[in-house]
Amino acid sequence: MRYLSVLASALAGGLFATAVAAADPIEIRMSWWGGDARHKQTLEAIRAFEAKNPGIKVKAEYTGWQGHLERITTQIAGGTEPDLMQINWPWLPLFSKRGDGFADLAQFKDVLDLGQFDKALLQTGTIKGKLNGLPVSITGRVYMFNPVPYQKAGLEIPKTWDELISAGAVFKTKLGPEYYPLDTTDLNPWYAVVHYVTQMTGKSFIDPESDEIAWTKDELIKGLEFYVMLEDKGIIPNYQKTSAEGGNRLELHQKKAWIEGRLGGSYEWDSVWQKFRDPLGQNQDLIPVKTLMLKGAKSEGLLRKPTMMFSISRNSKHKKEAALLLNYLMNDPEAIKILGDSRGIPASKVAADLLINQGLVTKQVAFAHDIVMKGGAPQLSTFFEHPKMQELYRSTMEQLSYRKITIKQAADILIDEGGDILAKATR
Amino acid sequence: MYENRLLGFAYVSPFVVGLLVFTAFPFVGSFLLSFTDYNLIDPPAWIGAENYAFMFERDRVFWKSLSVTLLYVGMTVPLKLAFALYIAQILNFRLRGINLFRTAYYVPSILGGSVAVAVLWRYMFADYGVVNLILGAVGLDPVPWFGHPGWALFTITLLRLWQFGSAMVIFLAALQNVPSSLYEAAMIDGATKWQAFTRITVPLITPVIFFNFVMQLVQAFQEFNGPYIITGGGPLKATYLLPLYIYDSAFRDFDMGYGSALAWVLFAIIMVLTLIAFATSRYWVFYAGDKRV
Repeated sequence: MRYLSVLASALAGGLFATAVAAADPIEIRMSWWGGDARHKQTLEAIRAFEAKNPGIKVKAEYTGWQGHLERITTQIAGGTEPDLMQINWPWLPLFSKRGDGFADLAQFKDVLDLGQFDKALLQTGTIKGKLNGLPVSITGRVYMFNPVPYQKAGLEIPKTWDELISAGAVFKTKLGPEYYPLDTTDLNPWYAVVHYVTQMTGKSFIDPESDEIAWTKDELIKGLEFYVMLEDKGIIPNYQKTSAEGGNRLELHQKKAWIEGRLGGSYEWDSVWQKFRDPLGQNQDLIPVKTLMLKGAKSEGLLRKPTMMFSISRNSKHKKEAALLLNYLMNDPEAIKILGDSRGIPASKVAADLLINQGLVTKQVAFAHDIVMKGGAPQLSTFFEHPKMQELYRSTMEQLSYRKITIKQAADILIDEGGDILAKATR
Repeated sequence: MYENRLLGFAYVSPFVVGLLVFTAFPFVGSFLLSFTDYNLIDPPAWIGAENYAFMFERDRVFWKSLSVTLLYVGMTVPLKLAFALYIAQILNFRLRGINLFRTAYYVPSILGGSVAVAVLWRYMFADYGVVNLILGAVGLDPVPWFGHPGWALFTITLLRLWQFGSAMVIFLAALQNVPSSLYEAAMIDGATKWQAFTRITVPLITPVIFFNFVMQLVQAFQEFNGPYIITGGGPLKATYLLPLYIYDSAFRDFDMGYGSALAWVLFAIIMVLTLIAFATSRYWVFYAGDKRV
């Protein structure tokens, strides 16, 4: 028994010690994912915030992207999530189906300046009338080309779909069978279909109001036919080619064919320009261009979305302090300069203006971002990037690429199974 | 006396608590969860056997994944056992520096399942990887190791096969226990090497073959690292083993109920096959002192 009593007193001592420590200044927790640059800059901004607000201490919890969703989900399930969290946009409906999963940010208008944010953009973080997430930045898909393979083939960088399509044959004859004018990795074949049909119809795949599939089967079939044609004419590598290059897990910038300039370009989020530019080195380049247009297009059909949000925990004891920190990070010139474009080009007007005017953003990124912001883009449903929908896009496009299913079957699967997933997710 | 008994409990308590918290609780918990719809955020909703009904009646991914898993197990287990026994037989010879060889052959088992080696595998078998380079050097066409569904599963199988060391060491110990007098007697009677192997060696080490078989079977059904890192289950779900599907259901889709149901089906399959192995063992496993002829 002696052992137990010793143990008990040790435990009691520990509890007592924490109880005493908790009486100090307010401590709030903030979490985010990212790379080294983002970690460093955010930590610096937090220190500057603490210096300005001596009554508040901020405990930073930061990780890489891998596993962050699992981590946040476990925390929220156990009620131990941080006060302020960086949340990926497609996660919002996972955590807050009815709009009550996070604190309503509109309550903190006195400390959080929402006037710096576009109304339509705030709508993307709103569920059932409650502002669950404040959009940090906006991103969109942009065509980016490596001029070197095009020069070698004696071509200009394409400006229209027709120019891109005719480049396929030239690449094959002048450069060799391993050269493609455009790459499609992972979900990109699906995004190519989405871009084509959106230009054709002016509609998003999923209706943002009803969260039901908006395209007809015939419209989708046209898009899938377009994709198969791109494959057949050797404009893009097919899935077999992509897989053989090293499993499905390689990202574009890790591919030998990309680094060595055998792939002429890609259709990518503007915010990742730097990542894909870096491995090309001194002798090559990566140039974002105005979106390729279809003849008779109803819209530029850009894929534009908020990247990530900041949300405040509904269980937080210090919501107001968290909102104060959030406002500092988004709208205070001091923080804006420290953070730079570590989370993309900010959605906050004061931040974007300051960064671009002071030349704190790479020219190419600013140019790509301009394309994204000025083009026509129908609103996306928050369920467009739902994890189960993404898996459906990926597996269906893969089966089509291997010709295991016909175009019509692929359209049936996408619309029928997609409809089932949406019905279940929005229930 | 009483104090001592309590002390005994205190000594075993770390294990008992560990067993209850980390094995028994998840075991029972996942069984109950398999009858619910649970996404971690909302409280679990009891839906009876709906998960199982969906799995068997409508889930094409499940059937695909199950057939791939059975194919994978069917390929790896016999190949690995045969290979391990073959190498063990060679290493049983009295050669100079035999211990060096024994160590060398065991090394892949220590490294084999690691993430680093899986990543290495991905580069070796890539389109422009070293394997195709070697094939090219001897005048063969490159193989799309990860591009073709059949080859992709084979590549994953190879990674498993490469880790034959632990089975080999156990075989080696068994081979060394076979009395050499039996071989001498067989030689005098004019038996060939092959006859000695099939008539003396194999019957005498059947208990160890049985042990290795069951262990490999259970492990092969649970393979995760290789396909997860190398192929991500692709192409065309050709390497999408059940453990990957369980992981995706639970931690990508946050469908904890369905993930648990899948895990229980996998458990049931492993259990039934192991029971079959035990039930048939009395026909082909011979223990020392066995009275059968």
